[in-house]
Amino acid sequence: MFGFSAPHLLFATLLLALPVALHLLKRQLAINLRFPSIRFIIRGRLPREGKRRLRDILLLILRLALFAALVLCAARPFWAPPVDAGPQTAAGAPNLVVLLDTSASMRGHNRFQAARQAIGKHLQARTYADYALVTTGPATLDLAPTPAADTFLANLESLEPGYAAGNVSAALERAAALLPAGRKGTLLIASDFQIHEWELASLPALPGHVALELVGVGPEAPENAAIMAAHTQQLPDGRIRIVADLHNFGTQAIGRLVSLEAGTQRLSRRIDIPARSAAKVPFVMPPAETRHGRLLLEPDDQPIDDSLSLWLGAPPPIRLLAVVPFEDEPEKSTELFFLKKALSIRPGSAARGFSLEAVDVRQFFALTPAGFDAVAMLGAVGYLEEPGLELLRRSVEAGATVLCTPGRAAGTQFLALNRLGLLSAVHRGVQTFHGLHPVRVAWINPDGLLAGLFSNPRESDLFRFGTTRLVRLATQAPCEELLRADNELPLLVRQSTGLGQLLATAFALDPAWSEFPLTTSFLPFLHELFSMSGTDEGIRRLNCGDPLPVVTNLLGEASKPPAGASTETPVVIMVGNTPVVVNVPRTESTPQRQSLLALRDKLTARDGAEPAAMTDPAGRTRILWPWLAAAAALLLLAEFALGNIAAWKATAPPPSRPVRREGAI
Amino acid sequence: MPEQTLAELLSPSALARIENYAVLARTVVEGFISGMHRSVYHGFGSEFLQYRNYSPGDDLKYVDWKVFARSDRHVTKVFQEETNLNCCLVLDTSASMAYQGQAAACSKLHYAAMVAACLAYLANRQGDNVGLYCYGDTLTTALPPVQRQGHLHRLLTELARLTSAGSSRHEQYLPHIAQSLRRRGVVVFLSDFLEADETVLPLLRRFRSAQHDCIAMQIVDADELDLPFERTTRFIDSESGAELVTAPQNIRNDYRTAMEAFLDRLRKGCLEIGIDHVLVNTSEDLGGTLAAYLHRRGSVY
Repeated sequence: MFGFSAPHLLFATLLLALPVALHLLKRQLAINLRFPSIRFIIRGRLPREGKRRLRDILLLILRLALFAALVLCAARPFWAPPVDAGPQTAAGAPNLVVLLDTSASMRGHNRFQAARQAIGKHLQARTYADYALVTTGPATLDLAPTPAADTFLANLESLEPGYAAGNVSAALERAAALLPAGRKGTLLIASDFQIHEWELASLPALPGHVALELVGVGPEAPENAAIMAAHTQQLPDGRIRIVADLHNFGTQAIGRLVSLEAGTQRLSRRIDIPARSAAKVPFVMPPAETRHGRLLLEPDDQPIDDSLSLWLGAPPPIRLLAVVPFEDEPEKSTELFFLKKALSIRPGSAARGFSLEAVDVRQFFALTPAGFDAVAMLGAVGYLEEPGLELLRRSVEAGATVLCTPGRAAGTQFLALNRLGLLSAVHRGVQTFHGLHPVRVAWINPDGLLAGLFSNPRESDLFRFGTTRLVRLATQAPCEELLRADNELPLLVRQSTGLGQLLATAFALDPAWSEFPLTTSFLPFLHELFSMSGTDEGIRRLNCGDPLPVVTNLLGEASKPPAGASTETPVVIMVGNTPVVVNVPRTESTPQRQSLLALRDKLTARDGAEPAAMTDPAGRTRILWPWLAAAAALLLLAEFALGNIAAWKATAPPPSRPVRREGAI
Repeated sequence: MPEQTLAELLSPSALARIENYAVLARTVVEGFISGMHRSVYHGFGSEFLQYRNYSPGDDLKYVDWKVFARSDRHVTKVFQEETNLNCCLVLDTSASMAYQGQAAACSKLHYAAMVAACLAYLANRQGDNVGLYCYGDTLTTALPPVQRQGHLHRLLTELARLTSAGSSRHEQYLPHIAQSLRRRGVVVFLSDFLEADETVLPLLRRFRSAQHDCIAMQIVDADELDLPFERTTRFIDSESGAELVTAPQNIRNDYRTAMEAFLDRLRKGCLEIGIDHVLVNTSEDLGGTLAAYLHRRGSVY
């Protein structure tokens, strides 16, 4: 069986017209010459056109053959012996695998129905041995190969698109597995070919024996408007502010009604959105009766993105773990007291509160990093053993914010943090300032996270409190100093590692070290440091089809999701104390379609490999392109030689006979 | 600036760039004469004018031996010009004279005009009367040979205005010119003689009958002699407009044979009626042409 690995390159045979055109253009035409007299010019024979044409035709044929050889070589031809089709093949008929897009975008613009009709029409026109269906959804939706087209179509009718995005790479791999080597097969892909799914996906190249049919359904550039996202914020008076992000993907300006529903409450606003533009719609809602809400847009032909589920309840608190060396340093209970006191107060501007849990330093190693968002190591790092230090490192890398204060084991603490790579600061001893000359804050890093909070020194007492005991630290990159004392020593340093960060103070949050816990700046200081902890404001936002999150406590015990909870459809559920909001992925709203030509090239690209050779188990496939390359080289030599001979003959001087000039003097 | 040789000075490629025929003629004639190493410009009269120092190349018959015997110096006698010869230049301005070949620096008509200008200047310098007749299908210029102030300038101006057109009507104008020349003189006929060898020679015989000395200067382009073209060519006759497509490389030998036969026939015809035939190739310099004239001019006296 003769075939090509890159058959689309055969289009390059159109280049064969090039030499023909050149020969036609370079054809020798008579030049006009106004001559004094033609009485001595006899009508002689014109150049021996026959011979010249023969030479030119030979040259032309050589050039055509050279081009053809090069094109065929690029198409990488191969020859494979005929393969026994096996008993399951009915009269040599090929298999058909239908890859049906069941992503959420197929729900709009009647696309899924159009896809079913296109498949039915294809089946009416051709007969196959087996019919199989692969969906871009989960593999459980696939239909096993069946020889009965009617059964296949009946099963197809029972299918509905989901609310999730499609996984085209996995679907293509499953489809290729259903089309084994040595047996002809056709892969029919029916989809809206949304560009984000097909362009960005890592698509596998199909084997050479698979014929590809692409059926694009739905309009090329559909009009669509969508609610892309929403941001909620609890106001101090209990009301909720919701800002909806809308996008008009269409080419026409639209005017739509946007509504917010929460229980029996409903707020509506009309919004005009220009073509291909985004818009924001704000709502302020009284304290909600329910924690679930929905944003609704007047439906269009793509209804999946016209609603968005919201969590309207209070965001869960930031889980702060305080690790204290209760036995080794009982005075650290005072520091814990001030910490608890400060974090128990929730300022009106704070989006989230804190839930503080304190453990002894010796219990720390047994905890689970997923059980807390932030850690306050109150002089405890120096007492951690290797498992505890490893847990601390993993917690920071996973995204936790860790605040370390010094204690009696400050030297060991900074040595361990340096060794773990969490803080590039060297401990230079503890300095005590007696009498009336305590150390005060003198400099705040203008690029640090505290700069915005204490931007006006007159409105804050951050620069007024005195510190009587101080760990002398010497920092180096990437550790950054956030606060510096008037004697140039760093008071607060920070270093990012992984997704989290480690903060270290040069003094304990204890009046025995500093007056700082007694100031009004202490509370916003702590809130600002820990407010960066955690992700998604404590709310898990998922797309339909994503797995349910596992929410664990400090000891690693997972909270069970509600019975029957699923992410297949848009929903709001609670897993433990964590709200989980599931919506249709907004990538399904984009109307741009992948170029089918480019997609065909991508799917049939061979990446230099010979699929037929790879899939032929007996290895009997013969790769023919090296022979063609050799033939092309020979043709090139022949063309070069013949062309030179022709040029030499054309430029050779004709035999001449001088005219006698007897009359000249 | 390196000094120009005589060949460079008289080459058509150099002269074709000179638009002023007066300058051109003076340049050619003065350069030509000073390079001949022979004092031809003594005048052909017999009235003694003055002595001048002998220079190599002077004819020994003009050396005054008596002066040599007295003063041991060689001096040459210079005589006053007193003859008054009529020199009539007849130019063919038919369309075939417009041809300029691949190797030529100018067209045949331009070359003929340059030759005519030089001859007119040379003749005028020797005191001869110069006339000019130009015709193609019409008589465009008729300046009888006279000795008049500004005549040469007018003649050169007419030469500068020449354009080629139509077929030559030799049978109409040559008898008319022959009739208008009453005094014996030299008639220089400049033409390519194409299409007219059988008609022109009997007409030129009339000049000979009137005791004129005739020089037939046949102006040809190198292409007309060799037919050096390589590509298949559609030849269009410049006078009749007839067309013929052929491959020059295939008919070149036959063409040369026919052209040689034509030239032989013309040469013999001229010889029979006592006319000098000079084949002038537009790729060659003007020296040969002037020498032919002077040769004929010298034979008159």
